[in-house]
Amino acid sequence: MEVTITNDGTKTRAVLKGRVDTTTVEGFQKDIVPLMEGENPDIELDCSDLDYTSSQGLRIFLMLQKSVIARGGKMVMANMKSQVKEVFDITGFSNIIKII
Amino acid sequence: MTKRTSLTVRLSRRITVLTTAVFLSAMGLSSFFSQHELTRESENSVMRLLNSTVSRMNIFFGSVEKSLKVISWTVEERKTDVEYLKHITRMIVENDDIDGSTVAFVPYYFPNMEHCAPYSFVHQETGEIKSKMLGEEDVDYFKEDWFAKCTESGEALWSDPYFDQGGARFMMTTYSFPLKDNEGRTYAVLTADVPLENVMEMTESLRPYAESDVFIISDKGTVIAAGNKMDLVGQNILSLTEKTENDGLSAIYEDSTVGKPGIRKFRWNGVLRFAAYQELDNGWWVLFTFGYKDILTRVNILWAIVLAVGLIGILSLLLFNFRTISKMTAPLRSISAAAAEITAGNFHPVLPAIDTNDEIKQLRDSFLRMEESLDAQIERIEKETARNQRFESELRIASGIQASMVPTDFPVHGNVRLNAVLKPAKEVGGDLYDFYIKDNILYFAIGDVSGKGVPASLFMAITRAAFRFISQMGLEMNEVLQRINNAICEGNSGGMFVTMFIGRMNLETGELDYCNAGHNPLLLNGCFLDVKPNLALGVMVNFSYIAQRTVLRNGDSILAYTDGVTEAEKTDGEQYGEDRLKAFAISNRRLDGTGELCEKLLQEIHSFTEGNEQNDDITIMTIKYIQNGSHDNE
Repeated sequence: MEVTITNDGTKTRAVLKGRVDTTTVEGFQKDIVPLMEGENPDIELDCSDLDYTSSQGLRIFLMLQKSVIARGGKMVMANMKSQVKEVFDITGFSNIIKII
Repeated sequence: MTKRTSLTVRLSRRITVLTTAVFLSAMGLSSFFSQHELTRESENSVMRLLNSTVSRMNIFFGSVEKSLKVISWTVEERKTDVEYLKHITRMIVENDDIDGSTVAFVPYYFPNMEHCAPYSFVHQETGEIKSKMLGEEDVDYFKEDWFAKCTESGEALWSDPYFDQGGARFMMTTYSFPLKDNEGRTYAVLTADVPLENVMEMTESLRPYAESDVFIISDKGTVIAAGNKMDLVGQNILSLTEKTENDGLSAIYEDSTVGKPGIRKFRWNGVLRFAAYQELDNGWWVLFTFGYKDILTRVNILWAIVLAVGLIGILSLLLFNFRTISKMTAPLRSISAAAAEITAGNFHPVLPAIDTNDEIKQLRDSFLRMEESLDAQIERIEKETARNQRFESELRIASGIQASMVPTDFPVHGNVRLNAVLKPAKEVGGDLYDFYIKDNILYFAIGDVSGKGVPASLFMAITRAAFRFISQMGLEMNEVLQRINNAICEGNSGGMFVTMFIGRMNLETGELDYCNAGHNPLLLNGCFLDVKPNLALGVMVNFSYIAQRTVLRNGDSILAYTDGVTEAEKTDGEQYGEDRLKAFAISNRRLDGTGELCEKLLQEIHSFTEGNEQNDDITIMTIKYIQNGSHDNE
């Protein structure tokens, strides 16, 4: 699992690559710590290379969104692959997380 | 197996080998140079001795020559006075070095007298000087070398040595001096017989060495005197060189013929010897030979002393090294023994006391620190082990408790057949299912807490209890989920969530009311049931869930599962997936509602993952509706 974070001043962009599963979830949680703080809370997560997420990964996305909202920002997930989108749909997460 | 050699032995051996090598090199060099020096010095000393001896011999022979020359003048005046000539010869013999003398005239120098040679000599027994006329009795001296050669050449000469016919004890030589008239014709020969005894005595000083010989050799190469090697006397030195094992003599002879003194090595009967030689004034030469050993003896003694001292030194050094190193390394052996004890399980062996402040003390100190560290580590490991054991035992208990939380008393009811299985990935898990029948109505639920292990299991327990409690309140299914959701949302700081499907089936009519909270849709007869996702529980408080309804007909079956089934993976990441699950459900319809179906699916998942470790909890629930119990015995 790779997380590449870039910041253009107003919006933070994070490119996610790989799988979030039992073995990678802890590393992923650490990798996104920078996104959970700071004054420019708007985040776009680029999921074009995200292959899979387990329910543990969903939980992390949920907490990230909570953190963003608490700081008055917005979080969107973009370019999600269909098999990942399916997980978000089944669990109803696509109702509360903006997926573009 | 390698042979063990102690440090002490190896160190001692190395030091000794090195020392011996250095010592032997030094000794070898020193003896090489000292041998060279000693040889040269010995040669010089031999040549000096030889030179002094030759000088004395020259003086000896020279004095004889000179006295005859002086006397020859007096003969000239009264050469016809035989009595006077007798007197002259007596005077000559008065000289201690001369045993006999004559004035021998050529034949018929005096008319009527063929021979005329007044002769005086020392009587061998009495020592008196006697006179007689030679040629009168038995001596025809004309043919004697001393006469014939002298008259022929007209020059003074020394004869080859000879044993006196009178039985002299020593070899003699005769000096012949020609007497000449005014025209230069030789008319008589004046002689002096000189015993070589005195000359040989002079060579005694030339005996500094045990195995040395002195030879006097004539100008023609004849051995005149040979000390105690009498058998060589009279032989020609050149004839001796013809023997192959006598090598180098001819070179010495060649040197002597040109009067060149020198010192050379040569072989005598195959043995290497030195020869020193110098010519006398009269053309003879002195040959002095000595053994190679004579010179080397001194070197050898030197060698022996140095070797003995060296050996004693090396042995002492070896002993000293061995004892010192052995003493110094004794603590190492103790520490080694201590290490062996530690290996055997005694962590507090006795360590040697060390007074020196060196590497060995450092080793001992490190060893002590190691012991302390070992103690600390062992204590820590013991504590950790105890704690882990406690954890494990607690987990086992928790696992048992959790297993008992889900019902396994599957209903015995004419209109429904239901079975379920829950297989956690760890001791405890986050999956759950529940069911109960009340008033001919079946309530059931299946759920999955995000995550695994103890945190998930706590949530699972809460959720399952909430379902049991709230579902019995007679509420609609969406309200049941809303209340469970709000209960879970309260105090959910960890962001945990639960997906859950709940249903309520009228076993008389087959009516099924259900509501989903983000759980995987169920399979109805192998096809997905129309299910709204709504939202997983615990995510958003007061979320409005929407309930749905369908009617089951006789023989319909439901297969509920958690994502541990569809997301079971091979090592290469391939998942079991919904398609395989559907195919399984369709091809195993006759097992619907039985425990056999659950086991078969578990088995199929296990085969699919090829032994890859199960990484998520797996729950399977199968329900078969049998209207009016008509298929009870199917």
